[in-house]
Amino acid sequence: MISIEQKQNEIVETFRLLEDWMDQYTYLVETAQSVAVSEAVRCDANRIRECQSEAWIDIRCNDGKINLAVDSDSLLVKGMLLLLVRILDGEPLATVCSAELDFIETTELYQNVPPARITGLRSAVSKIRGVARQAAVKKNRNGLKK
Amino acid sequence: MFDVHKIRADFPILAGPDAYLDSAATAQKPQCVIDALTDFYSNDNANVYRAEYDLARRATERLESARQTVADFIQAASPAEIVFTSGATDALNRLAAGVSEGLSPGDEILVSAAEHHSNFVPWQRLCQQTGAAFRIVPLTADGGVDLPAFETLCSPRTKVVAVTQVSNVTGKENPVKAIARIAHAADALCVVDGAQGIVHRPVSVRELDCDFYCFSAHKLYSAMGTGVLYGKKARLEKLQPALFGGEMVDEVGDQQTTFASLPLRHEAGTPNVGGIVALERTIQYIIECRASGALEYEAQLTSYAAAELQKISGLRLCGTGARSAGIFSFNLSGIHFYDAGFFLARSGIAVRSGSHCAQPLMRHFGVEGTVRVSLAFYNTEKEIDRLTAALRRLQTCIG
Repeated sequence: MISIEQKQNEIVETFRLLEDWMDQYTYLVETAQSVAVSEAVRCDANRIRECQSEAWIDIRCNDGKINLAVDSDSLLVKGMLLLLVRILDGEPLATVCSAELDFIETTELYQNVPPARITGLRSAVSKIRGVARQAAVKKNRNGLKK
Repeated sequence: MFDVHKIRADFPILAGPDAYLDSAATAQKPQCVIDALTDFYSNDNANVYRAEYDLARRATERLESARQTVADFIQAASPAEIVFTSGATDALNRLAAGVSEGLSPGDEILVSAAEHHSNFVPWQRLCQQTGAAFRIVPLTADGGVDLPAFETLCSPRTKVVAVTQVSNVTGKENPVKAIARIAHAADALCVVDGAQGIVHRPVSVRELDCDFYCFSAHKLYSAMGTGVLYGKKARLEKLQPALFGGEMVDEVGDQQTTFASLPLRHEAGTPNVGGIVALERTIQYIIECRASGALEYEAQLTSYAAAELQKISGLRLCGTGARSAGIFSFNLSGIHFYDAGFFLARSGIAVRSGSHCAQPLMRHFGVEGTVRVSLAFYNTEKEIDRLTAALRRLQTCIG
């Protein structure tokens, strides 16, 4: 299984190979279009508030691992959120809590998307970490009880 | 004869590579206006009124000269009817605060669903505070005020009617003169938001016969932070000042204060004299441009843009038909307006995407937001072509 660091590096490399903003834009759009999302993800509890456009993230913890589903009316936002899913989905809770996520700053993505979208992406990261932390604490407590 | 290339040379910022199609948000400034601002601070800066030295006298004279120029520009009866504010939003908020004492439960305020939030929220808040009813005037499918519906809503209970002259979303003009007549028949005040209207047409407040009219200088090719509130003299005299202190007082007693005469009683604190002086220069510039055919050019450019945008398949315009300002709000089928706005931005085309401070109007059109293109007399057909080419590229990219 490849590490979070490797997955981030792959994204950074992909963006480096895409020559200009339009290729990067197209890549994010195609990424968004390639993933069908259940309508159930679009509920109020999953809303990412700081995002300029409507965006949702469904975060679940199963067997000590994180499972993510995302959606947005904006293909650009959905594409960026899917990069996050690619990196974190299926990872152990402890890894999610401690992972250094620097793909936003190290890709050209950072220069090529409006700041409000970056804020939304960061807000999604902290939402995931918050859920993972709570689930990890709960898991540890349950472990101690047993 | 209007020469757009000569006009463009007056605007230093337009020398850049981008197509600026966001003038409804703020218009660019000609060099003569930038110079007027610099000249004031370089040569005439002093606080106005109540000082005997030359500099202060000059600053005061320049301010009062600007007041006369604004009065002439909108055909007010006298400069005493011109109150300087920080912008249209400031003017509308002051109006809402200024009429509050006369309102009580049972009274009504009518506001159209096409208003910018600045002409919607202050009245909504005022109703919440006074117990007056907040009534929203329905719109036609095109986004204009539904005049028969408005006439039915207007009653002796109506105390204020607040409408925009030209929509900042559709560029459509409302029948303000008829609205004022209906409002007056019910003995209500008619407030007109002229923020977009004054930019694209000659305005005569005398002809419109509205009680109040306001606009922002920055949308009229002038500096940010300056605005105008026009009011009929009798109405301004009755209006309670919303801000206190500075030149607006007459006598300040230990328990009571009396206020200065018009228009100073509505101008608390130091006015934005530099911005006001620049506005006078702007008006002179606009008069020159209009004399050389700027309005006719704008109308022609607006028709061209309408025709070119309609050629794009899947483009849904909010409000079709004739418009009196070159403002177009639209969505492209299957493409989120933010994604479109970003694509255009990266293509070197400055437009706005979002709800344009007009969420009630977005609901009327059944959309969450739009891309908005807004033109000024410095734009060209070539820039419209750049826009439509970029929109087609975007459709290929996302389609």
